Amino acid sequence: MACRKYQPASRRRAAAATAALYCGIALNVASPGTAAIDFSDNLRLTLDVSSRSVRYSLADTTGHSTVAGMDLHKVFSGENGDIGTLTAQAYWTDNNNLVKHPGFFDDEDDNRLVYRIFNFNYSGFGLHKPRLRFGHMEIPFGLEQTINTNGTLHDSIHGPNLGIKADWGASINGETATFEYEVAVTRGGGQTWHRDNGDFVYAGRLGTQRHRNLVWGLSAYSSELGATSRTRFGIDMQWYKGLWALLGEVSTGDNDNQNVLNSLLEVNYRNPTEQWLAYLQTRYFSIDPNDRGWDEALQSLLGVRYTPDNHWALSAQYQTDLSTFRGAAEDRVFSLQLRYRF
Amino acid sequence: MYTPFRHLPGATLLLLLILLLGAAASPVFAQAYCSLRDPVISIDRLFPEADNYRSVVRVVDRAVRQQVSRELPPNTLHFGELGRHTLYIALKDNIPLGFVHSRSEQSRWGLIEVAWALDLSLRIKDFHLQRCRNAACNDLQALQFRRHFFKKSYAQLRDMLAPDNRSVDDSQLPLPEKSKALAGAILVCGIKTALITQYVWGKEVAEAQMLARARQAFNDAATVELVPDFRSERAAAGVRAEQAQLARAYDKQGRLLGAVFHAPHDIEGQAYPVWWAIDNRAAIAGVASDSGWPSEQVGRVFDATVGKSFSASQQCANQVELMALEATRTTMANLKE
Repeated sequence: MACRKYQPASRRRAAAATAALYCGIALNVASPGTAAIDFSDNLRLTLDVSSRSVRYSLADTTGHSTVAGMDLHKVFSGENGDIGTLTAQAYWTDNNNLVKHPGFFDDEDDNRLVYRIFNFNYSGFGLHKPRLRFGHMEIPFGLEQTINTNGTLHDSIHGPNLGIKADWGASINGETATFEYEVAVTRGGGQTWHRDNGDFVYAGRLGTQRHRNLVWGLSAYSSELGATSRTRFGIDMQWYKGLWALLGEVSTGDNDNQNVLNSLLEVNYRNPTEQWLAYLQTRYFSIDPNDRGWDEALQSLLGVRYTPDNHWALSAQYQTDLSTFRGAAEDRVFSLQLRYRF
Repeated sequence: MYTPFRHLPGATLLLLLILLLGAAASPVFAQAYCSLRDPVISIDRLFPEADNYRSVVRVVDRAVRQQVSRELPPNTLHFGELGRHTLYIALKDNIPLGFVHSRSEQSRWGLIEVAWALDLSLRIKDFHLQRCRNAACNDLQALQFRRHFFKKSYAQLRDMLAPDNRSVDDSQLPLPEKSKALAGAILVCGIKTALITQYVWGKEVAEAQMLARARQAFNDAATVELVPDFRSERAAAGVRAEQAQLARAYDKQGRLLGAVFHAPHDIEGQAYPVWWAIDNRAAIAGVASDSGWPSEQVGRVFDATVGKSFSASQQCANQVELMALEATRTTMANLKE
């Protein structure tokens, strides 16, 4: 059995600050009218818990992850209009033998407070003006920003492609009559505010409006994360036809001057009540190390999600390697997730 | 062996906090809140003259669902329609222009999402299909179809329904076969929107209406405050004061400018929604009817009261001035409280 690990001071401080924020909100919500700002107004607040089990064929083992946190959405509004929106999602995540885990966990048995979206988007300049976002946000690149897969088995290639899925920083975002856009500068620390010297992420996406049945987006990305520098240029699309959807993303660039080409293609289907979602996804990763020929990896995923009501979401996904980098052993991963939002 | 939360010392504090907060948790939305759609595109499209907007989040709960089921059987609310929803008040120079409310409706091709624009009287101004994945969407997004909804109230929209309460009455609005099911879903969605907006956001709607009226009469009006449970026992001079609303109007510094009195008035045998703006010295600062006057001549008689004060019936030369007196008396009695 794993023993309790030492929690660095920065983690403890972040957890304490987040707990203090939620405590303040709870006290304000419990006694509206006694504070200068009534936090209960225009507030959405939900306790969100989930449990995930993952079976790794290659390692012949099963891992688990238990997650509990708050999903908070608060629109600050004045007499003259909206001022901005606070989205705060902090989740205590406890992993046990989670062999394949995001890099911000120390190992397969780590536990920590994980920030998903945790930012304030200032909209006080007016309806037709850009907005300013500060905090922890998804890197604006490719499909992820418009389909949003946080906390679900259904995922895009955001993390593996960019080396980071969300980060602390600032962005300018907005909509025009035809397009939506977001340009971000972030610190490169991922889950932590701390950054190594020289780390940075610059990213931006310009896309057609996401409500349309055919959505196109162009993205650019440049980062220095630890010892690795990355650049990417990407194109993404979504095409909705009846109950079917076709999603695609292709990006090219380099990792430390080694050419990279990554892509995702997905077909999904929802039933008319949209309680069921089924998807078939193919992910392609390739790199050309020092112009010595392309090395490729190909994965295929089949998944299903059932949402019987506003509380429950049950998901299952089967992922298999069709080919791997440098001929490594191919793995098959089966995941189950149960999620409840109070 | 798997033992969830074995790192108890670290997790316990957060879990306790979460449980504490759970008591304050609101009716839930199935998807994470970060996926909530931004309203800017729809507001811009439906109220191009707007320069800002204000969000008002309220709960659509089982009581609202029952109300819909009672009023519109066999329609009800899909589980995704419950929870916290937002009404957007479109503003220009801080004056309410109307409302935008987005609702989803189940259809054969999944959920359709319609952003509805309502004027201050909750009549349909326009709509925009935010999410629609059917071949007929383009036809029904066209002005030729949308204009059948323009200026329609809840009751008028209901009159467009066929007896099954699910489809559009063919005799009023003939449609190609391929568009009928989607048109029915859009109509039902519009009817639900008008009903739910009044039911759930009634106070905010009344405040926005009163603020818009107050700004027509008092240039400096910045806020209004509805007088709660305001009802006058008096029903005199053709003013149905028992159905009246009263709102105090304030400037930016919070100084009382006057009040807006709104009630049905019997004019030429019909009820008209008339409002009077009365300043804090009891002078008439403005008067108008939300649905217009029966004739220009009647309008001129009402307009002639602006700038005058009425404190006794002997001062009144006609029925309209008696109405002005009634509105003034009721308003001033309240302002003095």
